[in-house]
Amino acid sequence: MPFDTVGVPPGTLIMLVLRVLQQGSFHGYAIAQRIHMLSGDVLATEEGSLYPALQKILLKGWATAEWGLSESNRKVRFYKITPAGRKHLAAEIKDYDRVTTAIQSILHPLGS
Amino acid sequence: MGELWRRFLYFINRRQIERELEQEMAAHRAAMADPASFGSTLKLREESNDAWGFGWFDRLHQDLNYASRILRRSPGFTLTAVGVLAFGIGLNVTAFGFLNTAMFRPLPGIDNPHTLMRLTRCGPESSSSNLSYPSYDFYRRHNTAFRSMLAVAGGELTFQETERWRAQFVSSNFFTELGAGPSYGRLEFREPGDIVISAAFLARHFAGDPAILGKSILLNRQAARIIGVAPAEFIGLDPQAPDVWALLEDHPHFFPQSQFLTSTAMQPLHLYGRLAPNTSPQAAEQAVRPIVAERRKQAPTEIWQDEYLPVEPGAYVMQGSFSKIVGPLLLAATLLLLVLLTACANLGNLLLARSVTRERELAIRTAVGATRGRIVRQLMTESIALALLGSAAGLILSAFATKLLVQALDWPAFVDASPDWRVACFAFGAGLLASIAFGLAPALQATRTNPQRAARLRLTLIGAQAAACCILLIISALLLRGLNKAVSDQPGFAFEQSAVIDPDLMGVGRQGKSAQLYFLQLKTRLSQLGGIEATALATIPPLGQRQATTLLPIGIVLINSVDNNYFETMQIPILRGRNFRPGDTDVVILGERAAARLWPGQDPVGKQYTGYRGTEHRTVVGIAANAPIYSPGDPDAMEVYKPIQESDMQHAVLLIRARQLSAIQKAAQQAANEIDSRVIPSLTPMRNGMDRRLRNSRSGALAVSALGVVSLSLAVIGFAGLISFSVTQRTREIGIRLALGASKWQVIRLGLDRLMLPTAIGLTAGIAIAAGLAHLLRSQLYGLSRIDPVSFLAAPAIFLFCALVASTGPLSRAAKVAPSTALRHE
Repeated sequence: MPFDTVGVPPGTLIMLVLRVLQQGSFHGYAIAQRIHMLSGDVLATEEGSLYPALQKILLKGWATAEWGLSESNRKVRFYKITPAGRKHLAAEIKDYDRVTTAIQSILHPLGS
Repeated sequence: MGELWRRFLYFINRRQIERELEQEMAAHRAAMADPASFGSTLKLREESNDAWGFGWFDRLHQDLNYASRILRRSPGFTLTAVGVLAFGIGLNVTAFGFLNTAMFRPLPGIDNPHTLMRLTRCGPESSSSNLSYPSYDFYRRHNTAFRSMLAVAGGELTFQETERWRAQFVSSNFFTELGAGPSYGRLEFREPGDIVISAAFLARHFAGDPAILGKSILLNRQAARIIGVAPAEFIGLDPQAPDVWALLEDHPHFFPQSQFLTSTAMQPLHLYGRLAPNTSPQAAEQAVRPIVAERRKQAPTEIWQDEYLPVEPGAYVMQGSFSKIVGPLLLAATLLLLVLLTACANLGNLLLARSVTRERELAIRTAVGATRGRIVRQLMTESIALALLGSAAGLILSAFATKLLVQALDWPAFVDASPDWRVACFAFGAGLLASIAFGLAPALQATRTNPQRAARLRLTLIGAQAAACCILLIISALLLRGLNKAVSDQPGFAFEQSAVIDPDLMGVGRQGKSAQLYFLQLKTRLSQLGGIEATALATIPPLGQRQATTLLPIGIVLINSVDNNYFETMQIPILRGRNFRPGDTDVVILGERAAARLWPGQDPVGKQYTGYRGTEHRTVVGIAANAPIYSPGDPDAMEVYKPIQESDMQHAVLLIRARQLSAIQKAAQQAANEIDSRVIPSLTPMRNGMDRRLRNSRSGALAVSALGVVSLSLAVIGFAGLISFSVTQRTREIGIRLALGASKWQVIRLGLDRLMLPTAIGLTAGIAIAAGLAHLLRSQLYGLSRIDPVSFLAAPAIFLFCALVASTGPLSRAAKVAPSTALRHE
């Protein structure tokens, strides 16, 4: 693993996965790839946390899974976001924005 | 909801989903530039599956697998443990089964049993299960709380002068309200003398031939017609199923001039009610209160002040007055739980001993990363598996035991005592509780590395066993000795060759002077028979089912109205003062105990006796020896005798004492009938009543003794096992001691020494608790001395003796240890 990548901050993985799925259906490997790519090669998803997160998403009904063929003609499972997933994502993003704004305002006070 | 559903679907398709996840991961791995960095798919898969929250299930499955393997691998241990548990649980299950049959399982053939209520009578000082027809009629007409009210009265009808049919007189709505349709004919009383017979009676008496329907017969010399046969499973509301049912209002038809329907002095009815929809028994009870108060204005002699009618479930073997049986039930439950407790303590020790031999296995599991909680859970799973096996075995054992007991007790045929879901739940519930009782402490202990504490736990368990066993032994010794006393002691009155002739004069409408005349004639006829030594009149026959009591400041006393021959006939000596004289009215003779309690240390003769609620005043003229005619051997029974009056004659019975009762029995009965042909007298030897009372105490004593023996054997086996275990564990130490010149006795003492203190503490605690329980028992069984030194000393002595005998084996093994081999011992 190259030095300039970092792990996904704890608690944000589900949000990131859902955000990726908002753009279309992807399989596990592609989701990890896209997170890496979209984050400008900064965030690396560990498989150890990706699959538990995907199972939780299935359990909560935020996405459904279907078998299909990958670009390399392998049998893979495509995850597809559900309306409930979209709703949850919107709420998560809103919460996350509020928290980051709050953290920003502590780290970089307006006066300084 | 969706989440639960998805979880459920996942659970159903677990295997397939896991396989799919594996495939998915394999694809992911193959797509990666560096597949090796993917990590362990197995571990990942498990972690991913944990998201669904079924990890515990897999672990349980694993633990159960492991437990069953462990239990299979040591069949000796498993069999012992399951056997011990089966005994402890089986006993409790059997007892619960009987309770279940009596209280929770409705009588057969009754519609909606839960809405059928029994009404009894309760006042501040008295309670009764019966009431009079006029009162029933009043309640029925003014009833608002119940959809309908039913009444039942027991009785007998005589067929062809000799055959007595068990009869029940019932209200006209009896069959319709209980929901019984006829198996033949109709169940609807139309003409006077219509009767319905039970299916069992049809089979027994008429060879099952329904041609009997519509036939006219004579019952009590009155015309009767069999109009219908009740369904096979239907027995009515009395577990002692009757042969025939007749209409309440037909009582005078079968007993001409009977005052059944008009008198408030006759109280033969049991009252039932069907709850109206959405009415609780409590609400019904409240609604009946004002009606009872209203009734009291009309019948102040029958209805007590502040009387109310408790409303309790009525469609069961046990009906009403539940508060009365709480004491005995608690006592029985305590004794039974004590046996289970001995079993659990025993098993706990067995598990502790085993955990020593499993130290290596547990150490390995800990070393490869099992947490303490995980190991405790696994050990508990083993205990629970044992307990479930024990419960199942106990259930089977109790099914057999119940079958035998039902046969031995000669229960009515309808009683179905086979286990049902309640009994099964009870068995497995008891098993689970037991597994906590015997499994948890050893499991926690096994994961600690402190042998000192393990030893202490072992000794505590031995103490608990000694205590439980001691209690059971003392109680059974008390019961056996009480029974022995009841058999050998003279009860204080002559019952062997005596009998009660009950002509039931009220039933044929003879009262007052007419009844008195009847008895006069009867006495004359009997004196001509020869062979009868004495006769007397009384309202309460000795050793019968009847009793009359009143509450005095000194407690409950038994009232009996008797004539001046009573004391001579029953051979009860008058200790002071005089006997009754003809014409006595406002006098009283007291039993010795009642007198001593009322006026301790004084001469009671000539004192003023104040009876019922301070309203009755009589002069004490004599003191008779104690004669507890209702409960022989009861050291608390107190008697009060009043001279019998003309107005008592309708209830009176004639007591006879013969030289040879069997010789004159038939002639006496015939004589009683010849004086008045309507009278169909019963003649009951007092011996019968005595035998019935002894039978009850005997079965009680036997049951508790059986518990005592079971618990004694369990405790003794545990005791010996523990000694054997400690000898094995300390073989090396014993060898060294022997090598250094210790005597065999010192070695034997070494084995016993540490058990002495816990055993002594256990036995002492047992004696103290038994003394408390004995106090409870005293009111339940006759002839029991509360602090009987023999019982209280014999029980611990028996325990110690048996424990020592059982320990001789392992102890002699210790004494025979050869130092050289012992030192080589692992």
